[in-house]
Amino acid sequence: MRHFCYILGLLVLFGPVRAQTYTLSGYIRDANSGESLIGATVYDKGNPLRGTVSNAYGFYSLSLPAGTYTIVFSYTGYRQREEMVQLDADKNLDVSLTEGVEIKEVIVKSERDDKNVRSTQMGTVKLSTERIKAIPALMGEVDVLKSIQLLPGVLSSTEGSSGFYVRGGGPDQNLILLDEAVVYNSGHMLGFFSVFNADAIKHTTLIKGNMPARYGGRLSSVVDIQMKDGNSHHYAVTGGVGTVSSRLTVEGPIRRDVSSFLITGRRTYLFDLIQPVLRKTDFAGTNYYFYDLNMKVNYKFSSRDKVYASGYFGRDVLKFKNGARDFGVHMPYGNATATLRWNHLFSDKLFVNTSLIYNDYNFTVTGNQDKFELKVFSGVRDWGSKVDFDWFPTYRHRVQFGAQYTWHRFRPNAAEVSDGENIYTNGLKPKYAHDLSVYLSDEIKLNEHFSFQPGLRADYYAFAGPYHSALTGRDYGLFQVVRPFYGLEPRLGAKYALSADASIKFGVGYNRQFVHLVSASNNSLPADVWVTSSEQVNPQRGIQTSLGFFKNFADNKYESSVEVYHKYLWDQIDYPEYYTEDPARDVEDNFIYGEGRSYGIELFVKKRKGQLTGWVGYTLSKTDRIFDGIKGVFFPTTYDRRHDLSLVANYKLNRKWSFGGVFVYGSGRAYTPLENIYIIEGKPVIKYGLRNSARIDPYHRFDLSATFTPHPGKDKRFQSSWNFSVYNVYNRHNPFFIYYDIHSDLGKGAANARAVKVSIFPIIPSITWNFKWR
Amino acid sequence: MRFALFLLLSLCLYSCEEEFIPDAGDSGQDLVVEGYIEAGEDALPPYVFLTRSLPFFNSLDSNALAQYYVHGAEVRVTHNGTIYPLTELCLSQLSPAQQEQLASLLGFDPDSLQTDICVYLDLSGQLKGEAEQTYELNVQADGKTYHAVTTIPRLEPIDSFYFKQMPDPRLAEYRDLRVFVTDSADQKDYWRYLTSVNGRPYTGAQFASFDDSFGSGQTIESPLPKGEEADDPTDPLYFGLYHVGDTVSVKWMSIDSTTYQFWRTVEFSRVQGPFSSYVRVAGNVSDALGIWGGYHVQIIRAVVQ
Repeated sequence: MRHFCYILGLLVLFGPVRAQTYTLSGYIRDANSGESLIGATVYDKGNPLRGTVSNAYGFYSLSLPAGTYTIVFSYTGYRQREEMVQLDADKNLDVSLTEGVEIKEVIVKSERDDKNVRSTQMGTVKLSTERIKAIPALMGEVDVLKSIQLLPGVLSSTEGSSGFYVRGGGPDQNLILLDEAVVYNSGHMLGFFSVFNADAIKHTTLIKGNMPARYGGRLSSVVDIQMKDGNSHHYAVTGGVGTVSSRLTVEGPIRRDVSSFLITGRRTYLFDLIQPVLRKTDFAGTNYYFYDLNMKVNYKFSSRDKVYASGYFGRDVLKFKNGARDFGVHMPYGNATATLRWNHLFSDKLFVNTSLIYNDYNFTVTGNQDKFELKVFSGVRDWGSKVDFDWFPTYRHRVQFGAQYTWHRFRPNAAEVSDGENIYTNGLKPKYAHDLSVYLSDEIKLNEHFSFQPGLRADYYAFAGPYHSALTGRDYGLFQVVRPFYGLEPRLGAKYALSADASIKFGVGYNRQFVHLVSASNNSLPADVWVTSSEQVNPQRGIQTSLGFFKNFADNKYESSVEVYHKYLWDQIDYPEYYTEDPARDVEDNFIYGEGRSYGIELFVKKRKGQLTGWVGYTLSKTDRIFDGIKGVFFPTTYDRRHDLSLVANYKLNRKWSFGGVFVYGSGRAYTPLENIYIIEGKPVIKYGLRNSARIDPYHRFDLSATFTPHPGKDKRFQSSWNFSVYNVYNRHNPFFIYYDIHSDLGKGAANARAVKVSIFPIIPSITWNFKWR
Repeated sequence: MRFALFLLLSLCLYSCEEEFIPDAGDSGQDLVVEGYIEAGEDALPPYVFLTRSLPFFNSLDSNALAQYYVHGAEVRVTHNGTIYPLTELCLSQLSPAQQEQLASLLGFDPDSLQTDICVYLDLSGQLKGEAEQTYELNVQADGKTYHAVTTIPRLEPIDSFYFKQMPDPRLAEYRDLRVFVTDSADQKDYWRYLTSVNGRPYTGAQFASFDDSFGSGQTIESPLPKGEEADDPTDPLYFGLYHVGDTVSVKWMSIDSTTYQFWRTVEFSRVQGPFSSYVRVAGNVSDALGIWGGYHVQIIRAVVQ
């Protein structure tokens, strides 16, 4: 660590040619809404090497030798802006950019859309919500996470699910952040829809490998989602009425250019509509719905200080009633997050964000019949704080460093059984952990060709009391450390520019993960329990290496990349093959541990401009695991898919009509096949073959959408549009799961069996009406 | 969690099923052992079925099923150093009266029996199961030796029971069976139960094995749903209920942890669906499938009122 800091210090101080330099800094915003633009590019037109990008709050800082420069500000989908700057002192320049993709004449030929080639970071994709909204969606529900699944290296967990796997990593190995708060359960309706209401989302970044040192705690990927700040110029109401849910967003300035707010809500009503029918049946009182509420407010205290408060609250609620049998199930679950952030500029070169973060995920299911009741509840709650420094000492360096601390509380599967008089519990107590880390990284531009980004993250994670150790018999008090884990996570990214529009990148990173979600099912479920590294459970560890070639064509009209990766994982967790759910036991008592590996190649070609835009992504990969408790040989995971292809296209016919299309193809999912049948107590029992030794049919699907805007025009105060979408246009019966239907009557001498594939989403048309008033 | 599937099923109004032929696999066939030794006033004599597992099939008739019995094996039970040989007996070797007697004993309906069932029995009648005793099973078949051990635990009996009337008028003729069991705090207890209605063979419910994780050392009241039978009403309204006037027998069994693990994995292996995973059955016979189980049995009989 000491050597690393020393070298970094030398590079920062003596790396660049020392000269009298001044700093140009400021914020880059959307001219219409005042929203900050994340990842906008700022550079000297005369020497593009001298450039930087805006951070998560739209702040940029560029230090250059004294002189006169033409500074270019650009952001994908926006009109580029050039400013002549006489840099003879430190200067502040806030810039507003105007959306301008459809106005062809203003798209300047030299537009700087080559970040994919020039940035040192690889495996990173940034998606604007507008682009996500242009993609056809299941039942018209625009979904951030499902859009991510269309990128190479990212797989959908199952048909229609918002769950995803990245480069052979498990679903718990994705760090999903909403305004810096960890979201532990990202799915509604058993995962068919994500918890992220697209109307509240400004920007989504996916990092699928070699994550920068500021991110930690997960092995595979980061999905960093930023909520909108709220329009700081004028009030606006947007919303939509869809097949599944309706949405409403209200935003506006509290004090123009100083403070703004955003409130957005979404709720489903499918089951509300059938309540009149249900009321006449034994199932009166049965219902299911989910809702989300996002809120955000910000206040600019001075040119150097700004505070943001944001929160999310969402719930799924399932009520099942059978009055005839006096039977009922009530299952509410969901997330709540809250983030308070303070942006402060220590100087024109040093930006700091300090955050206080709270998040909570809890799951409860109560089943009752007559006087009997079984209640199981689980969840995780975090209280945390972090401080992140963004230092722009020269245009050759961007140094990021910081620290974070989180106090975790994990509720295991606590269960209560009542017979009406007595309550029996399984006695499982909450578990606690300290989670502390510090990090440092520097993005260094050595010359026109070569840049690299070394980083180091140091972790201290401690399983802590109150806790009673069944292994040692010792009792631990509050905050007292039971078992600590220390470690370093080195990261390195490097880029060599072959030309102005081509580069080679390399990345390697070592990650550790201290919280785990282990599912006994083929699909992650809301009932799955997050567990901490503990007396028995070791942290998961992984190392990923990747190499890529990036090339843009036709003045950045097309971008392309080829990335190869290799990943090895240790201390992977699973359940044994004999595992049966038992609410009386701590789940970690059942765990088995093993290793995993994944490797693959990803091809990506994207057309970024013109009436027709879109991309083609293809992944060839292999992912497997090995556990002593599961035969001790490598077996493919359920998320091993040899071939994965996505084609996404958007066509803007004119100002009123635009169209979208998606085609996806994936090799069949691995499953554990029936090997033999035998009879016990007169009934059939299945003997299964080796884990995941068979494949279901390949998956493929084609979706289409059309958006009609009857009265387009930016000047209109009220605008509306109709979105027509068709999911699974050619009605492919993609297998969702398989089962065996076997019956036997030994006495009568008869037995019959069926193997059945079940598909759930045939062709599904949907209509959504969207509106905006301002 | 299973109930959450209601949501999915409601969502999937358009769901579609297609039959397919799974890959045959090449694992061959395994020996399947199903043997029990019981203690208690109503205990059955020890018996062992030896069969073979079957590759996936569409349908099998009585001839095909009969071929899967393993004949000519050497089967021995060892208890406290004494070896008790079990002798193979097939129904076809017996007189009609004996056939009926043996079929009933083994849980088959003698009136509809069409398969020549073969079983290994202690014809000497010397081997009797006793509580808290361990019994070792050795089988020699097809040139291989198979081995299993079971212990019959102390009985933790049903203290009392009653039939509960259902509130829905459509269920006026049906009752829910409730039992009280006092668990002893000094040992970990596992149970399994089977039910028989009007003298028909004993059958198990979908979930019919449990332990004392909740309420250890206390008196617990629990419903006991009726075992599944082929001609049960398909309407879930009647699930697990007993019809008024029927004579019900409950075979209540204390079992050891290995036997419990076997039955629990069997029960969960039968749960299939999008949100379940395969469960491998945990048998206790080395190199073979199946169970050698010790039961401490209590039978309660009553007319449903």
